[in-house]
Amino acid sequence: MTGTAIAGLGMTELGKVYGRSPRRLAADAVRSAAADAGLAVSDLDGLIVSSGMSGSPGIELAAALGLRDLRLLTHMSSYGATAVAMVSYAAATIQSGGASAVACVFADAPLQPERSSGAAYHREAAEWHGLSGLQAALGFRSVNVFYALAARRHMERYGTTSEQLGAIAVATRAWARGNPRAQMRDPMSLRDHQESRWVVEPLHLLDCCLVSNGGIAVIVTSAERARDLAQPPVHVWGWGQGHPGHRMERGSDMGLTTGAALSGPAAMKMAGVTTAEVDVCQIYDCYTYTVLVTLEDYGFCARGEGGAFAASGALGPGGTLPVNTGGGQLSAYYMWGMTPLSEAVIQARGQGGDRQAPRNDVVLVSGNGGILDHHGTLVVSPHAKGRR
Amino acid sequence: MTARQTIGTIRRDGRGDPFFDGAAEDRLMTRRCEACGRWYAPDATDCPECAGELAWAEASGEAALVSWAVAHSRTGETAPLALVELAEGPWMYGRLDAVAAPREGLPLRASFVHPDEGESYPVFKERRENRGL
Repeated sequence: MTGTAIAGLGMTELGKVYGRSPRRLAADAVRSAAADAGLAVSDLDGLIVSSGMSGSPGIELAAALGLRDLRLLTHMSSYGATAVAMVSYAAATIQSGGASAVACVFADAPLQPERSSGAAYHREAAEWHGLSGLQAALGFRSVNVFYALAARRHMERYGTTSEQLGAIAVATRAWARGNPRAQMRDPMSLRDHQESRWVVEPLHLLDCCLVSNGGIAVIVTSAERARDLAQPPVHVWGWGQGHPGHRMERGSDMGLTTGAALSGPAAMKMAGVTTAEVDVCQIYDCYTYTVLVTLEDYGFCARGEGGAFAASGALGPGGTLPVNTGGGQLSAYYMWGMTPLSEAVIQARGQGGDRQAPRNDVVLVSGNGGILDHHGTLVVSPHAKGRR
Repeated sequence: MTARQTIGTIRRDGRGDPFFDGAAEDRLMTRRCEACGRWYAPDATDCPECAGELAWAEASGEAALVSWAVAHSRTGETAPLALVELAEGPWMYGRLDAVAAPREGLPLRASFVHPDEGESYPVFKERRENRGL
């Protein structure tokens, strides 16, 4: 066994894609990923399913795909950190001989025709019930509020500004302009960011991710097998998870640091690289602030200096650390952890077209779930591990 | 000045009733471990320190601001929201009332709203230390 690789990538239409259930979208993504790898669906002997907001495709997806005699079938969930966790579980299973070709899939369809994106993740009612109802009644009606509180804490403690968060939105949009799959490709200036409406202060509309329907799947095999398949192998070098378990009480670091501080160093250690050797980052960007705090946690800049780092132009096209080269979840498509993972595969293969990063030897991928509660990191490369 | 987002009517659901009973009497009820005495937020369910049972206990109502945010509705109303640290240690989510210049550590005190319809509930106001004359 010489390690594992991502051998296939399948993506449905993403965005305002109506009329297909999460299970149907997931099935379409798996079929597309298998075809991309040059495999028949019946060649799969493992399937890992991840759910979004609108119900899981379920492990019943295996039957929908007509899969037989699977050696691995399970549902996984650590919210936005799931994609990275699925790939690492598939890789570990393959390395230990438990399966040979594992599809990992995420699909979701929270958007409905004639409803706003915000409505998909928002609570509204005339009467509220109990303590959780009280919280919503007071105004805690979407996840935006909790990220706004975390971002504000970082701003107060370190002097991070809205303009610095805006620099992340602007850099991400600049990358999206090179991605034909991106939902938002109009040019964006810092002024556009500053003038976009407040969602929850200190977060403007352009600090927040999109909402998308669709499905994305990857196929993980041994590196050996991937070499004989249709696409350039994307070798899996290392992975890690971090679940900080921030207590909501005096002394908590909530908002100032995340599980990335644990998972990043673990994944880079397994991969045998340091931050200085990372060429491209695909960072989970549910909000601009999430990118900023994750870069700090990984050690690409010192704690509290993420704002200045972003404002320096480092993250955009032509910058020293290309981040979210496909436009991320802020500007391209919101497929939870599959957004950074899919772009990492594209970049590692050198298939980024107009947006291809100048170097792609080491690509770092992150996933973030809950309110900064769960984190996963993956390091991938076009080269077999140890043979760069 | 933008309009404040309507809070709406709050009904008890059998699980947090002592919290609402306390609010009706201007008392902030929260959770405390019967075994180790550690304090928790009103919606806590477990004591991860000692696995003891949580009981309702009256907190002082004094708090300090940890972080804050202002939610904006599509129709232009705003809701000033906060994460506060109770004097006893736990954090809880709440709504600010008339806090002009929020900052980390700002002293707060729970104050209670008694609507005509539905349950009473706390909001947090700035606590000005009484320095005498």
